[in-house]
Order: sequence, then C-alpha cells, then structure tokens
Amino acid sequence: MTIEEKYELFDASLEDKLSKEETLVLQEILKDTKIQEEFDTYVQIQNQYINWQKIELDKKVFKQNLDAVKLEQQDTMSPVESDRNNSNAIKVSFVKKYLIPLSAAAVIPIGVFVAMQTGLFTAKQQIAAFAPDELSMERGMEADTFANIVTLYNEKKYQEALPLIETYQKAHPENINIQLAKAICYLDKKDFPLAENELQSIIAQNNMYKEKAQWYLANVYLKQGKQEALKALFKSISKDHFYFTAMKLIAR
Amino acid sequence: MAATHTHTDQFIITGLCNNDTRVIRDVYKNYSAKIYNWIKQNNGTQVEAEDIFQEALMDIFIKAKSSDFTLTCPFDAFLFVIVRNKWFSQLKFNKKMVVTKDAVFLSNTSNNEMKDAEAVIMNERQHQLLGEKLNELQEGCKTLLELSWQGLSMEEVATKLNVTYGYARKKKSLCMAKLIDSLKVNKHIILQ
Repeated sequence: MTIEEKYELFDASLEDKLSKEETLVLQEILKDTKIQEEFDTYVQIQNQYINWQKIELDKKVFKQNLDAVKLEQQDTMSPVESDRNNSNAIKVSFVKKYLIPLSAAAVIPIGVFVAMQTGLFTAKQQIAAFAPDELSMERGMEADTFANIVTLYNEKKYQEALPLIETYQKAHPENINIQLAKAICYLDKKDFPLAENELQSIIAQNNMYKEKAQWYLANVYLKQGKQEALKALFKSISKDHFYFTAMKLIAR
Repeated sequence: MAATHTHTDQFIITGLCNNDTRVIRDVYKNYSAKIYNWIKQNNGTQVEAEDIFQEALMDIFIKAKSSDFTLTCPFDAFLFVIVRNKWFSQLKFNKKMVVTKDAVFLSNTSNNEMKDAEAVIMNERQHQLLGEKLNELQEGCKTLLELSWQGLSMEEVATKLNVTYGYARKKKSLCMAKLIDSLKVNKHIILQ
C-alpha cells in the first residue's frame, strides 16, 4: 500500500467516511505499530494545522490592535516624555527591580563572550548600560559564584570553571544553559563519555538548546572517530540550524 | 527546585490572549520604552526596537492561543528574555554580530523566566515552520488543505473546487504526504 493510499484511509476514517471493507483494512494495517505511529503523526499534524489556521486569523486582528495602541501611545506621548524615553533614563521601578539585575546577569556575560569572540561589542559597552553592582546586591553569594563561572568560562578556562559549574548545576538542575556549558567543559577535558551523557540528556529534553547540543555531540563523535554515529546524527539535524553544514560534511 | 505556580501577572497573558485593548495599552505604557532603550543600547534603531517589541507580544499571543500557558515569573522579566533572544537572533541574522558555532552564552536568568520564555520561543518556531512548509506547497494543494482544515467536509471541499469527491480525496492524501514529508526533519519541533 502506498503512503497516499494509507493517508486516504486515515483521512476517510477521521471523517467517518470509511466503508465496511475499508474499515477492516484500516484495522488490519493499524496492527502494525509503525503504521499506527504514522496514523498518530497524521492526526497530530492535521490538528496542528487546524489550530495554526485559526491562530493566523486571530493574529491579524491582534496585530491591528497592537498597531492601533502603538499609534495611540505615540500620539499621547509629550515631547518631554518622548525625549526621556529615548534617552538612557532607566529610573522606573520596573527596571530597577527586574531589568537591571536580569540584564546585567544575562547581558554582561554575553557581552564579554561576544566581545571575546568577535570584537564587535566590548565588555565595557555592555557593562556601561547596566550597573554591575546591582547584580551582587540582588543575587548575593550566588551571583559571586556565577560571575566567577562566567569569567572563567568566557576566558575559556574550562577546567577551572568545571568544578564550580558542577556544584552550581546541582543546585540548578533545570538550567540547561549551564548543563551545556558543563558538557563543553567535559569535551575540552576530552572526557567524551561524560560530555556525551550531558549532551544526550539535553537533546532528549527537546528544548531550544537541542540543536547546539547536537552540534557538540557531533564534535564528541568526530573526536572519537565514530563516523557512523556522526553521519546518523547529521542526518537528524534540523534544517534551520546546522543542517547545511552537516550535509556538506557528510558529502566530504 | 522551585515549585511551579501561577504568577500574579498571569492576567496580562490572559488579557493579551483575549486581545484586550486595556491590557495591551498597559503593556505598551509600562514596558515599551525600557525595551526600546535596551535595544537601542545594543546596536538597534528605534524602528527595529518597535518591531521586536511587537513581535515578542505576538509570540506571547500565539503561545497563549495555542495551549494553556501558565506564567510562573514576573511578566516584565519574561518579556525581556523573549526580547533579548529575538534581538540577538536578529543581530546574528543581520550579521551585525558574528555568533560563532561554538558561541554558548551563559546567563543568570532564573529557571522560571527561562522556562516560560523557552515555551514561547519554541512555539513561535513551530508556528513559523508550519506556515513555511505549507507555503512551499503548490497553490492547488495549499488551497485544498486550507479548505479541508476549515471544518468543511471533503464533499464540500470538492464542490468548492469544482472537482469530484474522489479526486479531492486523492489529492488531499497526496498533498498531506508531501507536507508531512517536508516536516519530517523538524518533527521534534512540530510534535511538541
């Protein structure tokens, strides 16, 4: 039976349009777990699209509302307010309470890292935007440990960072970013089994770090000469990430 | 490990989901200027900042519409994580910032903020992917599938397209086969 014939049956069954004979055929083929899986995928994807279509319509209306409010805000904003908002006046309580510590915590390490990688953003520029001492005031001891980890990691002192990362991760097992950093430290240490464990665990969680973890796992396989595992991994990589590079490497 | 609980700012999510103008107005009033400033301090223009802010709200709206979404952290922190992610992606895309393959950033964002934002980011990728793959199909396929997903029976779809019921049925299975095949590599994103 071709895939199209199967899908015709699936679709007719969902519409309750199967003849008695077709019902029997469908029941028979669904005994095969692989076909049952195909059926489930068919149903799920179709449902996703039905939902997607509804949201697309709602999205247009929501966008119109956003545009209207945006215009309204621009109209009601006095020139003084407009000036203030366009300046660096980060004085409102929202910023003090969340944005400064959050941004400092997040952006300083990113800035330092990117600066080191690219030279485009200097750490000074990033730090100037947010008060670094707010970070330790808000987050206390933990911030010191974390800042230390970030410094060591961003300076590529992976082996010095590793014990700190291991301790930190025990207290924050849900922090996947740290887990990924840990895996990279293991990779640097050439402790491939431990690196692989961490990376596989990240991949299994199916979150936004999956593709990066796959890329590092490929490195783990490459360094161990596991060609077959490497090829299988590359073939499973999502098209919108490292797919094209992966395909080029397979072709080599 | 912190227990998951609904944050008091959940009402903002509900308001956005219901397209409540009062809530949207408050969100703009309270958060837009600070987000704009942050983007402008990070190589962005006013226009880019406005777009990113609006896209982040759209992403939250899509997530809230797609499934039950529980906010477990303050809305402003959550919004900021989404904005930051979007902005760094855009910088990377525009090549204003070179993010090398091994660029893994460390951030001290709380687990709840990260988890909530991640749910929105993944959902947005999923939504975008569904649209992209559908648009890659031929116009005939796209129209037929869209009609069938609108709740019309295949007889009604066939009548609308002026084809026989049998043809419409067969064509749908062919189109679905193409669509599902194109989504295969990204199945982990689509079937979250």
